[in-house]
Amino acid sequence: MKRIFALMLSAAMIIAVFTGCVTKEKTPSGSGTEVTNQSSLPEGTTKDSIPDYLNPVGKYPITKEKISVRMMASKDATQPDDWNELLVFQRLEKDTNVHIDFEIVNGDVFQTQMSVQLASNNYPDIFARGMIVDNENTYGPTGKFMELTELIERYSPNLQKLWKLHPDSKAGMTTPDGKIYGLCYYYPSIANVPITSFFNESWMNNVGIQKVPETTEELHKMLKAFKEKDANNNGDPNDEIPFSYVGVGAFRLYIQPAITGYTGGSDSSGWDIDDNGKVVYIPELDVYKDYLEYCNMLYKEELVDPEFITQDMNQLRAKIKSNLVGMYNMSPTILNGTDVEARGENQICLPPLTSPTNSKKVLAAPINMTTPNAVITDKCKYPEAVIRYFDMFYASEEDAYNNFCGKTVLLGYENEHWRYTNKEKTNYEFIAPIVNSDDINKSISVTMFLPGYVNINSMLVSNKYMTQKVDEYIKKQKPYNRYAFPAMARYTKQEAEQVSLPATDLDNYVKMMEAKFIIGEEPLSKFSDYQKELKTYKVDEIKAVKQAVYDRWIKSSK
Amino acid sequence: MDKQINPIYENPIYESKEFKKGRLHRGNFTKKCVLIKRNWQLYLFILPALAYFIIFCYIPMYGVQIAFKNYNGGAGITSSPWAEPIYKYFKMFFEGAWFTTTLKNTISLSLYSFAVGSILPVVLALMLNEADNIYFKKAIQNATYIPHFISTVVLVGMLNIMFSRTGLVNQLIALFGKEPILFLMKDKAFKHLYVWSGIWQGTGWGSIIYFAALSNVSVELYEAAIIDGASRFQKVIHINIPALMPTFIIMLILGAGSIMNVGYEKVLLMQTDLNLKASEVISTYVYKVGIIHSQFSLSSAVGLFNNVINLILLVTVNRIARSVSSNSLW
Amino acid sequence: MAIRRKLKSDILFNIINLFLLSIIFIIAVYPIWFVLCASISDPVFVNTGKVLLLPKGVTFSGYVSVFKDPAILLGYRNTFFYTIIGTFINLCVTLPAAYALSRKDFVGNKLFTLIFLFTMFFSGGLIPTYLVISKLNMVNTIWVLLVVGATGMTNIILSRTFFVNSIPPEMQEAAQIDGCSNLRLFTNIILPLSKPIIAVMSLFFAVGHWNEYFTAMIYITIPKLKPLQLVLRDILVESQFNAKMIEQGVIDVGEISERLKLQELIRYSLIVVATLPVMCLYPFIQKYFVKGIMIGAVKA
Repeated sequence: MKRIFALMLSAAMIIAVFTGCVTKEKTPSGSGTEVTNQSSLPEGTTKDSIPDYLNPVGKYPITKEKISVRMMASKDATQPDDWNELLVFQRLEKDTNVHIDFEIVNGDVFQTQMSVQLASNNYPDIFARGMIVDNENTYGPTGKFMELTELIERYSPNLQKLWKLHPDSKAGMTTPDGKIYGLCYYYPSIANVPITSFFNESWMNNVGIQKVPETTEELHKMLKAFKEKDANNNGDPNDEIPFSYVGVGAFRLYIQPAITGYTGGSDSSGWDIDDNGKVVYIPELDVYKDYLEYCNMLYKEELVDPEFITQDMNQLRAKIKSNLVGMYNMSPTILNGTDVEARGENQICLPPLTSPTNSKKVLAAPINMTTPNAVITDKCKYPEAVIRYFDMFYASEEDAYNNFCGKTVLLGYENEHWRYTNKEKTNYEFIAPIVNSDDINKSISVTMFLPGYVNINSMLVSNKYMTQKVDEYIKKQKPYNRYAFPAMARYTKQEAEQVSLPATDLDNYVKMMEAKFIIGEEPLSKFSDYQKELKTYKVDEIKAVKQAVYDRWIKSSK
Repeated sequence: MDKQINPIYENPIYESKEFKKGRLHRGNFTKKCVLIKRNWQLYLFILPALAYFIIFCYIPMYGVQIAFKNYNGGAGITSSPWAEPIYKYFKMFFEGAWFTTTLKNTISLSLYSFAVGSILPVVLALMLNEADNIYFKKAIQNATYIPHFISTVVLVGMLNIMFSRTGLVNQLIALFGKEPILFLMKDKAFKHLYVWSGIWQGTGWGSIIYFAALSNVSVELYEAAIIDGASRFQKVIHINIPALMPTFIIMLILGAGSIMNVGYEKVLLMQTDLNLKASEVISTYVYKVGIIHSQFSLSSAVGLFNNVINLILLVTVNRIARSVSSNSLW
Repeated sequence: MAIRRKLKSDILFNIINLFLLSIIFIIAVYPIWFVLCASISDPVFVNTGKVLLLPKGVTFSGYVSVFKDPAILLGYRNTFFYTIIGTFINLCVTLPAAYALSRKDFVGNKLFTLIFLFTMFFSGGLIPTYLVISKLNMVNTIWVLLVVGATGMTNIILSRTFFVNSIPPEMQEAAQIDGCSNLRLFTNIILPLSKPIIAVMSLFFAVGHWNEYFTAMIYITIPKLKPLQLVLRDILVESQFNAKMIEQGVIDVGEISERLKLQELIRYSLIVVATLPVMCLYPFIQKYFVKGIMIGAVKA
C-alpha cells in the first residue's frame, strides 16, 4: 500500500515538473528591446483572478453589464455599411452583452486608414479584416497592438483546441520573437479548392479524345484538337479558344510544375523549396527555358487566347459563359444559368501533368490560413471580453454556443439557413430563400476573413458544379499537393526593408520577360542573356534573406 | 486719347530697379506704408486664403522629415530615429534597377501629354468660337465637355473593349481589309493610348477657360478688323490668339510645374505584363513597393524628389516666360 | 457701320472649321453613347464587345438596382450639399485673394504669390495633414469636405490672370479717384464685370466637389456622411485585399459571383446616374460666355 502511494506521488511529481517545463517553453523568450511594458493583463488583476466585469470562461453572457467596443473593419461590396444590421452580430450581442460600434471602410483604403489613425492616436479598440503580417512588426513592439499570448491562454479554450489539432495555426500566428499579436482565420474546408484548370467533357468527346491528358504532350494534342475541330458543336470549327486566362498565371499554374517540378507557391511567386530545404527561384533555373519553349509553342500555334495578357476577368467570364473557351482556370460554378449548364455538361479538371523533363506530379497546395485577421489595440479597456467574444468564432460544431460556431459565419445558423441532408452529415443544403453563401454575406453574416475556424467537411448538395469541382479536385489533385515557400513565414523589420524594393524590381522584370518570351517578342536564343541580367537584380541577396526566414520558420514550427 | 500716367498703377517708380529689388530707400519705404494704409482692405481679402494655406499646408510640412527618418508607424514622426545614412531612402530609390526606366517613362509620358494637351484646348476654343450656328456650337461644347466626367476605371474598361482584337477599332480596320492589330499587346502603343485617351477626356474641359477669355474680347476690335478688310483667318490670328495668350502662358508654366506628377491609378489599370518597360512610372512603382511592405519613408523620399524636380522646372519656365512676354507667375 | 464682305477665304475657312468640328463631335460623343447603350445592355454582350452602336439584350435592371440602394441615395443627398455649400465657400476664399493679387499697388504681392506657390510643391504628406485635421476635430465631420480644398493655387492664378487682363485699370482708377473704398470697388464694380470668371470658377469648384472621393476616403468613415463618388468606388473598385486573395486562389471567382454580377450590371448605369447632374450644369453657365459683355461697361 505504501509503495503504491509512493509510486503515485512520484508519478505526480514527474508530471508536474514535465508540464512545468512545457509551459515554460510557451511563454515568450523576450528577445530584443521593447518600448513599453507589454503586460497583457490590465492593472488591478493578479495572475489568478479575473476582472470584475467579466464572467468566467464557459459562462454566458460574457460580461455582467453591457459593454461597448469600437472596431474598424474592411468590407466587401455586398455588405451593409453597419454590420449591426447583420443577424449574426445582433444575436451575438444578445448572447454576450458585448456591443460593437463598427466603422466600416472599403478594403483598398483600409491600410491607409489604419496607418493615419494609429499615427494620430485616435484609433478604435479592434482592427479586423484588412491587416497584413508586416503591421505586427510595426505596431506590436511599440505596444499599439496588444500581445495576446496570456489572454489566449486564460480566456480562449476553443482557439487552444485548434492549436492542438493544427499546430501550424499556432506557428503561423507567432512572430519570430515568439509573440502573438493577431488572431488568425483558419479554413481547411473541403470546398477550399484553389484555382484549377477545368474543361468541358463534351468538348473532349466531340474531338474524339478518349482520356484526360496526363502529360504535356497529351495536353498539346488535346488543345490542338479543340482548335481544329468543332469542339463546342455549334457548326463553326473556327470559333473555339482552346485555352484562356488572365495573365501569365495561366501557364504558371499547371505547366510550370509539370516541366520544372516546382509549383512556385499558390500565389505563383516563383519561390519554392527543394528537397533539401534550400530556397529555389524558378525563373533562374535552366529548366525554366523548357517551360518557356513549351508555352511559346502553344502561343505560336494559336492554342492560347491571343488576348490572354490584356483581357480582364469580366471579359474572360463572358467568353467562358458563351462556351467559346476550351480550357480555363476558374471555378465552373460561374456557368450557373447558362446554356452549358442547361445541357448538363460535365466539367473535368486537369490532373497534375508530367513532361519529358519532370516526372514528379506536383501542384500548389492551397493556403488555408490568413493572419492577422483581428488585433486588439492598447486603447481597449476590455481585452478579456474581446478575446472571449472572438473565441466563439473558433468553436467547432460540438462546442457551439446557442447554435453559433465557427462555420456559422459562412453558412448561417443550422436548421435556420441550412441543414444536413443525410445522417452521415456528408451533405448539406441551403434553406430557401437562401440560395448560396453570397446571400448570407448580404444580411446574415460576414462570410470570410473574420478571425475564426471554418471547417466544413460536407458538400453542398444542390450545386452540381460545386460538387463536381470538389470531387475532381480531391480525386485528381489533392494527393499531389505540395507546399512551396511558406506564405506565413515572417520577416523581421530589417529584412522586410531590405527585400521589398529589390523583390518588386525582380518580379516586374521576370513577369515582363516571361510574357515577352512566351509571345515570341523576345527570342529564346537570348535566354542566357536573360539569366545574366537576372543576376543584376539581386536575386542572390533576396534568396539569402528568404533562406533565413525559412530556416526560422522551420525551427519555430517544430 | 492722351494716356496720362496713373499715379496708382503706373507710377514709373514701380519699374525702377531699386523698387524691384526692395532696397530700403526712404522714399520707397514711405510710399509702401502709404499704400499699405490705403489698401488695408485688400489684406482682409487675402486673409482667408492665407489662413488656409498656413493651417493646411505649412503646418503639416514638418512631415517632410519622414523622408529622412526611419519612420516607424508606431512611434511619432518627431520621435522616430534618423535614417542611417540620412539619405538612405533616396539611395534605395536611385539604386533600384527600375529607377531609370521609371524616370524616363514618367518624363516622356508627361511631356507628350503636356505638349499635345496644352495646345489642343486652345485650338478647340478658337474653332468653336468661329462656328456661327448657336445650336451646333452648344451641342459640340456639351459633347466635348462630358468625357471629363467618365471615371478612370470606366475609361480604361472601355479602352480594353474598344481596342481588343474584336473591338470597334479592329472592326473598322477590317473594313479596309487589313489584319487586326493587337494594340494592347504592344508596349510602343501604350503611351499613345494613354495620352490620347487623356486628351479625349480633358480637351473639352480645358477649353472652357479659353472660351471664357474669348468671350471678353470687345466687339469693337472685330468691327475695326472688318473695316480693315481682314479675313476670318486673319481675325483669329490677330485678335483671338493674343487675347488667349496670357491664360495660355500661365497654363504652360503651371503645367511645367507638374511634369513629374503622373498619377498611378490610370497607369496601373492600363499596365499589363507586356508593356511594363514602357508603362512603369514612378508613382506605380512606389505604390507597388508600398503595398507589400508599408514603406512610408520610401514613398515620402520619392515624393520629395518629385517635388524638387517640379520646382526646378517651374522656376526655369517662369523665368523664360518672364523674359519673352509680359505674363508670368511672378 | 461695318460693311461685310464675304471673302472666298472666309467661306473655305468656315467649311474646314465645320468639318473638323463635326469629326471632333463624333469622336467625343461615341464613347458617351457607348456608356449609355451599355447601361441598358446585358453585361455578357458588353464584355464580349458585341455592343457597338446599339444596346443589346436590353435590360433596365441596372438602373433599378441603383435606385433601390439607400447608400446611393444618401450619397446623392450628401454630394449635393457638399457641392453647393462648398462651392460658395471656395468662391469666397479664392476670388478676393485673386483680386488682391491682381493689384499692382498691393504691397507684398510677390511675397504672397510665392508663399502660395510654394505649397503647390511641398507638402508634408498624408500623415501630418491627417494629424493637423485630427487635432482640429474635423475628422468625420462635414467641415473636412467643405474646407479642405477650399482653394487651390491654380484657380487663384487663373482668376488673377482674368482680373489683370480683362478689367481695365482706368475703371478702377476712376472709382478710386471718386473716393470708392476697395471693398465697394470689389463688390459693386469688379464682381459684376467678372461674370465669366465667376461662372468658370463655380463650374470648376462644383465639379471638383462632385467628383471628390480621395479626401472623403481618408477622413470620412461614417456612412451617413459619405459622398456619392465614395459610395460608387466602394461598389466598383475591386478591393485590393480581395484581389490578392483571388490571385492566390483563396477566393474562387465563381463563388463570389453575386458581387461581381452586381458590379457588372450596375457599372455603366451607375456612371450615368452619377454624372448626369453635373453634365446638366454646363448649359446654365454657357450664357455667361456670350461675347461683348464688356462693351457696355467701358462705354458707360
